[in-house]
Amino acid sequence: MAEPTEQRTARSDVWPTLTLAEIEVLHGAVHAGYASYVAALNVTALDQSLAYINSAGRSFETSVRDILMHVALHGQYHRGKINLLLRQAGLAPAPTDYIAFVRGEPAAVRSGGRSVLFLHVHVRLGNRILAIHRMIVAGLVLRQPVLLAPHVCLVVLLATFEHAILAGVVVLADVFSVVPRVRMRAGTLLRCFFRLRFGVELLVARVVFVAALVIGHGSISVVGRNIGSLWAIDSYVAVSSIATRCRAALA
Amino acid sequence: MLNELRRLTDHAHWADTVLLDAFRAAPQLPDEAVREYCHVLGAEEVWLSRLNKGPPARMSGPP
Repeated sequence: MAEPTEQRTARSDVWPTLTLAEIEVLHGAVHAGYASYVAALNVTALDQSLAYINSAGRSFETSVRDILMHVALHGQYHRGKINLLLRQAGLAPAPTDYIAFVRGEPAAVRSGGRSVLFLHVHVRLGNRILAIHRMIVAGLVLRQPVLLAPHVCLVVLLATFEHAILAGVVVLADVFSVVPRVRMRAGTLLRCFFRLRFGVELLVARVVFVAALVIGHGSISVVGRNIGSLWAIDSYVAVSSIATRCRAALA
Repeated sequence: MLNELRRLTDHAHWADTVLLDAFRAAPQLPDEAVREYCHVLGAEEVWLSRLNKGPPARMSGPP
């Protein structure tokens, strides 16, 4: 059994009750501490064992290597729980995936229905118009960034100032990439739009999309509350279906 | 391994900052989320103090 090198760690030390102001201070201090610690660390020191007493009063010896690994994994476990709690409270989660850290950008944007749902969760309840715009933008950015952008982004551009810059970027990118083809096939594009707007395909796509959300997210009530209205789903599905048809027509 | 551990430490800093930014932006926070966050910081602080009390941090030059 290792000789204790410190007093027993009180349970409250690892479950402190802090105000947001205190959190800010501790956050700064802790990470400054780790930064200087790992900067001074060398390879040989990684295998040094440290003796300590855990929060339950038991003595242990653990290598620096394993302690640093534990700190990383322990943090991620609880950050996952925090994001679940934020999501359950109707707040936007803040993904902390390692890969997002490596890429230097949020990992939240993924292709597929769930990413759209995720974007939607960002939107506060009651702000359905904004939700619809976000879903359209998500559809454009994630699923069909080519053919529909000039058409749908214009709506977004006019409707929501918040998305004006994003929509503008998408519009520009798409105009530059597909203008010759769009000009040639503008009639096809319009025909696809009207046929789909009232066709059975929209209904089928809507059922499939709702099913995908339910299966993917596990709860229709969550979907129902967060999506707010099927209108929003329709907007997304309409974008998705039209893009698919247009792509096929222009192929 | 040392570089990987440094990278993980940087990630922890980044991840805690990402969550803190989300906390700052939230109109109202669930107590449980704040409690979990305090636990992450509290545990990081306890382990840091153990590391700083141990021999490696006191070593100067090659061991």
